Amino acid sequence: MNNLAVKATELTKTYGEGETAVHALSDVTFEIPRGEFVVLQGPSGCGKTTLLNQLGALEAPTSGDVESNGYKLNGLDDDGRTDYRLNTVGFVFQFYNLVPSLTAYENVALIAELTGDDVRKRSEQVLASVGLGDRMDHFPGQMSGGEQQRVSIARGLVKNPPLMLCDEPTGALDTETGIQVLRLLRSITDSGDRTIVVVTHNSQISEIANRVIELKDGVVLGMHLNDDPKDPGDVAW
Amino acid sequence: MKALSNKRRRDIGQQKWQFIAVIITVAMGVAMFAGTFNAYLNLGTSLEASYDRLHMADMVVTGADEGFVDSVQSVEGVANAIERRQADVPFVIGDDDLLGRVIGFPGDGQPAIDQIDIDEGDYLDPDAPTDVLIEKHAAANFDLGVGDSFTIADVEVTVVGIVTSPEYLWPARDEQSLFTPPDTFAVVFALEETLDGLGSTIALDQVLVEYDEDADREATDEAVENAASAANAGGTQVLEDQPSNSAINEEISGLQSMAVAFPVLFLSAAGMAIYVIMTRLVFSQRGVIGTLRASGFGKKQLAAHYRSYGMLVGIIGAAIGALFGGLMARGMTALYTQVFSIPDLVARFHLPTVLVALAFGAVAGIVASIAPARLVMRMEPAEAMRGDVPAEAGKESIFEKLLPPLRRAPVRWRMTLRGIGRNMKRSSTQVIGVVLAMTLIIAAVGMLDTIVRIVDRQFDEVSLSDATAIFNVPVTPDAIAEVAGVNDVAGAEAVMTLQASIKNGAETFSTTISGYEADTTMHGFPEPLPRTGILVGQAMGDVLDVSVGDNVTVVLGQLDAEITTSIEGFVDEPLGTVAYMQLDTLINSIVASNDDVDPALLTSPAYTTAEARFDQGANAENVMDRIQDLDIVATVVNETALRDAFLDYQAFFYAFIGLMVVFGAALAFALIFNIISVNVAERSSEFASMRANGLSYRRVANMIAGETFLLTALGILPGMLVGWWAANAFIKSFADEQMPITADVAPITFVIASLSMFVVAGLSLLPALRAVKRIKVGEIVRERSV
Repeated sequence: MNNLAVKATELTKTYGEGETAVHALSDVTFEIPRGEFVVLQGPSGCGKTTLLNQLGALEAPTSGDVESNGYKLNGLDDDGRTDYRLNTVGFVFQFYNLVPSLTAYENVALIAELTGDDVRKRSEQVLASVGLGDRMDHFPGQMSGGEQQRVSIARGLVKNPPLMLCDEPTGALDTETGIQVLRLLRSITDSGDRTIVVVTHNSQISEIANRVIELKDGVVLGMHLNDDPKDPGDVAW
Repeated sequence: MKALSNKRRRDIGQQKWQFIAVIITVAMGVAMFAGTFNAYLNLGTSLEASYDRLHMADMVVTGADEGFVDSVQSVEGVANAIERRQADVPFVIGDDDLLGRVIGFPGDGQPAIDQIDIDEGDYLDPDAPTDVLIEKHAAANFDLGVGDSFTIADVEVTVVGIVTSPEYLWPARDEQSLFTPPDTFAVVFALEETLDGLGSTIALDQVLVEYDEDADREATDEAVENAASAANAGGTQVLEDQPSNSAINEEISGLQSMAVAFPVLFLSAAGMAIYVIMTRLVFSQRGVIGTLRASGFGKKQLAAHYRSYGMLVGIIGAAIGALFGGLMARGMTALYTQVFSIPDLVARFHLPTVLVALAFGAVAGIVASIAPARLVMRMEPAEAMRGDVPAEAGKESIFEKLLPPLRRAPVRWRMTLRGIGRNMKRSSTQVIGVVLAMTLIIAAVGMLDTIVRIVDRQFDEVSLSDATAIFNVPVTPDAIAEVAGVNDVAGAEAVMTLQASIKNGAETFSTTISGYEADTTMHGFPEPLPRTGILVGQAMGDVLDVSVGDNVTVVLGQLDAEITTSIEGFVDEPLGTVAYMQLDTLINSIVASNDDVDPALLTSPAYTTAEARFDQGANAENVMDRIQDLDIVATVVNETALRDAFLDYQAFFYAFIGLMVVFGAALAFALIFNIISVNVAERSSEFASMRANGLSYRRVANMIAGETFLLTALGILPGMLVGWWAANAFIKSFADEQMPITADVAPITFVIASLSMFVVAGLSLLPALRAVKRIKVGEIVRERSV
């Protein structure tokens, strides 16, 4: 098995044309080994989310390519991208984006049904693993922000994806809840075969990452490794 | 506030298709109102103008004592009265034999009452007794022009003019024959001496009465009827019951009902669509509203701003609708005046109708915006500025509660089921939209079904003969046998039909009484004809307030006879409300009631006919020709021709029904399209999130389609019920005591209306599903969409 989780090659994304064109990403190239907790960091507007969208095949690049877990994303059509997301990527969003008419269990089961049997067992297990074993029958409107984000993480995890992409996962949470969520995300990489990419503008989060990729104006400014990532509770928030 | 106006303009521009759909819905409703109501007013005015100009009689009295014409002139409200005679006699026009009508006219110029328009040729020459004026429907039907000749009771006459008569704008023989087959009837106006020269024909003496313009019609009717009764009149006919006037007024009153009922449906639908769009707009602009409030805008000011959206689209839609309505009114008035041959076309611009139409549109828009505007007023600036809406509380759907196994259904199914409960007001709006559209379609198509069912019942279950032969000789058993002996005729029976007034105390019902053989096979009765007494139509029983066993008086004006007999039962017949007796009993009763009645008169062709049935598989036209060829037969009326005449009368209804079906589908489309668009816009982040998590576009589309079709399905049953109720109410606006019809909507209509709703829902889905396909997943999942 290839030890690389993600490989981006000369990735460029331009919105608009001519004088009004915005170069969100320019010739971005990097590699992410499997099993790492990676932080994509940079100021607002630097292209973090655009890059995350490229990694998750939510948008097509203007040029360049992404290889991820055996998929070459540039050549995929809509069905291919859907298939890639279904089998490879778990998403966590800042605002959770849960379906309000479904319970926590059902939000997770909705995705579990697409990816195999034992829907109930897998959904319950993954919810229990994020600490929501006793809140499964609650609707999003009956849960706190932290709980909703944990449901969102469980929803991403239930299909057992090799890659989790998280966009400002603590952006809507208070500090304490944010720490709990980061611990949870950090623990996901413990097995060593799952990679997490977290987009954030919060520089402290980089202290818990294995690898930090810094972006500015759509260009990779630099990438560094943390030999000794901290526990989220030990970071000075 | 220019900035707010700009905001409003751009907001509307951003959702232009939704607002355009609303504007079209308002415009359709207003156009229907303005067009139909103006046409209704114009038709009434046109008819009135023709009646006034030609001095249409307000009352016709038949068979009154001599001197009545003078005495009636002293009745309060009566302006004028004249005497006239008319007779129904055999005509031979080309190859056609028919029972026509000759009306006596003075030689020295037109009569003072019931004048005619001479469309072609000249008035009668007092020195030319064989000259006649022919009514224009007959002239057109028999292709007769000035100078052409034909025969009336063996006398050859020449057409010197083609005329329009206010009495025959709709050419009906009598109240019971509103749908007279054109080949069996013609009206001519001839000199009195021409009438005298028509052999043994019995001419009816009539007194035509015209009222003062400002007369109290009801009181004058009653006074003249009392005077006529005192003068031993055989019958009276008020203008309201005059066959042609009655047929036209049925149409006009139907138009009035339509003018109000159908636009209300459209404006309700438009109002609901405005409500849905505006509620969504207000929610999506919470942040803007909060900021404006924080900047100093008052609650009322902002509420008025959002109300103005509804008012604006209402007024724009109403203005477009009023414009089209004005054009529609002209077209409809012209069409109706042409169909009914109303000589005077008065197509006025009725400003009040246009103003009311505009007000309807504006009010619908404002009313629909009240609830969204109140939402604006309730928003606190700080909370609104946060922009986010408190998460909806989820819950199990009613379906899962009622059917627990559904709790184990795939989650995406459950999501579809719960989707309809997420915004109950919006879901209810879609259900109501389906109900409104089905109501429109079922009411309109139900009208057609009812007509077809009436015709089928009348001609398949009630009137069982294939043809009616009218004789020019006394009807003897030999004559009947001669008809029965014609090749392919299965049987023939003598039938006597007489004009009659049936009275119970002060209540009178003008109708016909028919005598059939006891074991007749020509007419379907629920039970055999009683040996004595009469059967009457149920509606007549209600008017006369009689029950089985009660005695009534049957006044036969033509024969100056009165029969007192008992009610033996009621019949429920779809076309006409008439009375029946056994033939022998009827003849014996007439002879017994008046010694002066010559039994031979009862065999006059005006009274007595033979009805015949053909052999199975016989060629009806050939058999008709063979009966017609008998020397004793004056004319033959084909029952199929009667059926055709009735259906022809409804012909231009079909265009209206087609229009209603299209309008109903458009109404449903506009409403469902708006609801789905708002639904998709509101849940874009949810759908984007699902797409990001690996659900294919097809699965998301299926969920949205599932919700839409489920809501559509929920509207089907109530739509059928309300549609059936509306069809009944609509039909009743065309019914009267002569034709007491009730709605008879065919099951297939319910099926088609239901299926059409699913088709419309499917079509309405397409733009929304395209929008789902275009969702930029990456962008939307970053933002919380409300």
